[in-house]
Amino acid sequence: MLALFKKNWPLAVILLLGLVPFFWFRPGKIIAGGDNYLSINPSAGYFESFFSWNSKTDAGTPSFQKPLIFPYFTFYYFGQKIGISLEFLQRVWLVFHFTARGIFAYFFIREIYRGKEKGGIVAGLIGAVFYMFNCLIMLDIMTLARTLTFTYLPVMLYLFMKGLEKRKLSLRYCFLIALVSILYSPANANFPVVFPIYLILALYLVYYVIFSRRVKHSLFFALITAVFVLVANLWWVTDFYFSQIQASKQFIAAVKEYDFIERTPISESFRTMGFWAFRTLLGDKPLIPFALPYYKLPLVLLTFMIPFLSFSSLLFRSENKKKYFFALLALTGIFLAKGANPPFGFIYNFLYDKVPLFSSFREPFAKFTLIHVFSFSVLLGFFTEDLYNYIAQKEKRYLKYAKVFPAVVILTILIICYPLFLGKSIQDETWYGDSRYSLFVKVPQYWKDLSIWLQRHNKDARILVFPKNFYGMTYNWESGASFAGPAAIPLLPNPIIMHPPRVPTSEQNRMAMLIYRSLYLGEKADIFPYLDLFNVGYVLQQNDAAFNNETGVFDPFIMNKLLSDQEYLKQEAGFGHLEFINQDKKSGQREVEALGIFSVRGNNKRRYIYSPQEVIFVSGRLEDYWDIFSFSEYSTGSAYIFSGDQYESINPAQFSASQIFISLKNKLDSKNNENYVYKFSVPVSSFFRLLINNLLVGKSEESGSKDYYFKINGIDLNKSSNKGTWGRSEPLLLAEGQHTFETNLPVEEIKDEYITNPFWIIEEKKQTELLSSEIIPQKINPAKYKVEISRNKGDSILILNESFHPQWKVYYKNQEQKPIHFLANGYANGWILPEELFKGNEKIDLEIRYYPQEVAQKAAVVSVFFVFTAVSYLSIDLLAGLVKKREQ
Amino acid sequence: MSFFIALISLILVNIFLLKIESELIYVFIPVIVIFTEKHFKVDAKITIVSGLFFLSLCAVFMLINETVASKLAVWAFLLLLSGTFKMIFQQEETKKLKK
Repeated sequence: MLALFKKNWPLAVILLLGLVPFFWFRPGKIIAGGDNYLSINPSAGYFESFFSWNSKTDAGTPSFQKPLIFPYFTFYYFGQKIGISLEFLQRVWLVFHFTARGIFAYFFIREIYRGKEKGGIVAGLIGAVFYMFNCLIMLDIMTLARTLTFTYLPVMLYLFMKGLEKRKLSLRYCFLIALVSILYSPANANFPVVFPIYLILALYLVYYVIFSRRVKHSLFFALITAVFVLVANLWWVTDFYFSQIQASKQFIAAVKEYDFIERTPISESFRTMGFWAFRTLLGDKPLIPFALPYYKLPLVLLTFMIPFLSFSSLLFRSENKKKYFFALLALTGIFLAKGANPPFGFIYNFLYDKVPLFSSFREPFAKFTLIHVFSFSVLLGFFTEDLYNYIAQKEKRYLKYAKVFPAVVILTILIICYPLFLGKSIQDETWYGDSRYSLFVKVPQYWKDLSIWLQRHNKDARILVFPKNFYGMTYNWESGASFAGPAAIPLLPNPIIMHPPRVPTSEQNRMAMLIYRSLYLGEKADIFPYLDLFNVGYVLQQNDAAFNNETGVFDPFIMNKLLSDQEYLKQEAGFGHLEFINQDKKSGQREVEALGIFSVRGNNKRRYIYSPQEVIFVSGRLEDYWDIFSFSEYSTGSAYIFSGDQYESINPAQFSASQIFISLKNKLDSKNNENYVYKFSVPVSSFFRLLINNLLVGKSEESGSKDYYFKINGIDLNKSSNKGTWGRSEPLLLAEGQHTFETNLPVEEIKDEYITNPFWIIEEKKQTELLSSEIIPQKINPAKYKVEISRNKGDSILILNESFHPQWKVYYKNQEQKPIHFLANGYANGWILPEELFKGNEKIDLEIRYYPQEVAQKAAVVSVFFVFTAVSYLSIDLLAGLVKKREQ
Repeated sequence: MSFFIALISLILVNIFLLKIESELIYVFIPVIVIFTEKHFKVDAKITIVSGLFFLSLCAVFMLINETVASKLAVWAFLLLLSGTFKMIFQQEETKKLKK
């Protein structure tokens, strides 16, 4: 032991420095917030993460939480189960990974330095300290993916190098690499952050092949390793494919709306800095309080010392080719992290625009800086030890200075990262001059009380959360809180419907936004149809959420008035107490409950699946709900099919639509003088009325005394009645096919993004028989439902109140059926079940499954079998090695 | 050596006086450097030192003018890159000669 310590005394220094994160914490508070808001209760998602469908948010989404299961969720879930506090678990998690990355970096650098017996000790220590304390870590302590990627990168590269250097193919290293890759699997939830590991391994492979010329052996080893890594991680890779690779175009477009590919000039990239928000001002204050000194003396010069000394290592001639690899690797990292800036910024622009999924590298600094931080760790270590050796051999008169030099380098590193060392890089109440933005969080007891209340009443009912959620939402908690999403997601057991934090990325997001827009109507707001279509059981008003940072976020008094005006809502309970000053400041200081929970009439039981009583076909998009609910009364059990949002075209002839609505918003064909001509199609012959938006006609009438005409196929239509804001013409028989509508109303002022339409053509309601079939649904798990359905006259329609996804499939007697699958109600899954499916039976049992879950289950079996095989092989290999050693 | 002094002067003149923005210059000059090094058998260390010189200037100019600092950093990057490549090839050549 003593011998080991003598050989590796720097480990003591690393262990001591590894304790630094322990002192970042404050008593009774966890560190959570920003994009890492799930860390306010990491064990909450444990069971849901086993499924490929996440029904917790946005009416269900393809899940990519599986990689978080091990070790992240497991650590917190079982830790809390045995009674350890979340705060202590966080401390242990951070200290462990902080220390482990230092130890791994130390051994890695020592190993590749390969000097004399004691060679590499100083190099390892210096490199390890820089790997633990650097600007990238300083700016982002809490991101799970970065924590794990940093920790396991040296281990992965070490094993890969060893495996390549073996004379014959070594399965030992292939297996070890695969097993280590499981340890950082949660990082894959943010794949761009973990990508540098694979890039570094690939670059080393190329470098090794070129200089060793062992092409066959190297490629074979790399291939086997890649296959092993894939198989070991297959338990989450299938979900990655279905949720990320098949990501919608909407999502990619939304990601690209916020890119930072020109925020890091190469000068910043050199000194491992250039985070997009580092110098941002919030009012007259810097967003990050310690940012400004990094642009003044002495920190500017000190930060440039790191690349300067690292590249100076090239001045010492060495037989060690790995040193040159790390120099090239550092330059690769610098080049990638600078994004689209010179030199050759067009390369990044090309990749960003043309290569699928490269758009996820929209913030190159955060994704690629790890590459040169890691390389600098190696080169800085090499330089320090080489310099010492050079002086010891050739310039002995300077030896006393050379002995102090490593300490000076360590001191420089710690000075550069002083906010990290002192715990100042964690956002606290001094940031932005506003305590709400603090990442030191203490969840108020009333949130826990609400969670218990919901567990007792109905933990499956969907909750719509108010006020409007937005990115960077803050809470007036004891020590503040700032999140990328509502606290309700990790703190409450129920599924949540909310306003998307940024731009909408799905149909369910667009539909949820309509609810929040409705609030602008004040007392006229009626959100019941949306609540019913989303099958929302409860409405939660968070009075503790800050309301003065974003438009459309109303204060607790306005919100409580709005909600109590809704006759279908009943306040069930209130939790906690807060004192507020009204936004209009007239009513002075008042006390309100911190959280108010309202139940929605008739929706207290979760309706997973239903068969609609009427189906309305809308030639338009789901935003047309706004108009539809103003001219047609909503009734529970209805279903809407919007042709403009369908993934595959659907015709009302394929099912018996109760009514057809045709929006004329984007159907303007031509304009001659003041005559506007619209062309539209009706899918079936029937009687139709023209609806005219009175608000628009009224406005035009006010501006002049002109008479307006409205003609369909040349027939003059007069407004015969008014209903709300809509004027109605007499019904007119229209045959299936295209028709023309003409008017002199100046409709060019109706912009595409306006929420309301000028004209609608609506079918007279048919007196059709009820379409609905009797059904008994049962939820097996988030990715599987059973439903007993009775036969109907004609085809039946089935609606699953989970977000539409083409991978939701219908099974009968375990055989996949292929009924028409459509987007129902603007967000959900709908199927038209043909009568033949029943084969004469009065009732049949169907299963609705999310197919990727089945794939994931099979993949998990393969991964478990692989891990068992790998552990067995390595155990036998180890035992054989020990026996051989003993025999010698 | 005198070639490198001329080269560094040329780059500095471009940054401070000529201000040619085209990225083609980032291709031509490193190519000239590589061929000159090969022709005159210049030690790669000189290119590395030149890169380090530009890096030091970049650090100083971060305090004065960040646009100039970025331009200096670009040259530091290109010189360090060509220097590293050159060093690797020089080492390979030495190895071959030893054999």
